[in-house]
Amino acid sequence: MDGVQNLPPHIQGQFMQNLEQMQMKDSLTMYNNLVERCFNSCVSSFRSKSLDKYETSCVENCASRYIKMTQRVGLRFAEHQAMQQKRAADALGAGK
Amino acid sequence: SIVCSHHRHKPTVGRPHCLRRIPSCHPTQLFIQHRSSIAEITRVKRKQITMNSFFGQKEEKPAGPDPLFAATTEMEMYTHLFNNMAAACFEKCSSRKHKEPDLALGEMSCSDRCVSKYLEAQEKVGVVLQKANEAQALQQKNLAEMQNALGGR
Repeated sequence: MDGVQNLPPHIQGQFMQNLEQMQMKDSLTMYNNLVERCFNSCVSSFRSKSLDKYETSCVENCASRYIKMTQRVGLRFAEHQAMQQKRAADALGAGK
Repeated sequence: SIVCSHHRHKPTVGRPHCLRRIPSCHPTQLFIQHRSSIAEITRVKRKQITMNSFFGQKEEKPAGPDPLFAATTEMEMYTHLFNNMAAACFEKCSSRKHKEPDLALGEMSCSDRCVSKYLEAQEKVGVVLQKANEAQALQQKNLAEMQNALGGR
């Protein structure tokens, strides 16, 4: 909580703007990484110009599984952070 | 009765039909069926957790000459952490075949454990790095003191 809350309000606004920009860049980066990952994982033959049925379904499945896993990882990460924050707050409260 | 949306069975009375045969319709999966809400929570939490302090329990907060830079850097660090963690856990936990669009139950529990192990590893590496930094700083201080002593003669 300390990182952002300590900033004065006008800098906080700027920070929020930076945050949005970074999130947009991050989502584009994630998109590119996902495409590369699924391509490397699913496509291996170059006999024709277009993806065959197996490769298409593999790529689609790969993408949806990655997204679901990312969501789940985010959930667990958030839980972990909340627990850590709670522990820190408790330690702070106990120390006072 | 719970209806499993992944398979086109008719719901039967009593126990959810999906539990009997199909592993992807385990109650855990049914619980997290509402992916839109999960995505929303994740988005919100991602914004929230990036607000947390970087160093957690270990070190002092970066008071820094430029708080905007510190906050931005802290958030970048969390973004990298999240991306690397998701990539690593995907690589380690999901099968290469990608036959289904959904995660299997084993993959889901694997990803939970992967997250907690990754974060624990991050903490331990952080401790090691901190010790190395302190040792290096001490070494540099000793060197500077020695140089001063030699220069003074």
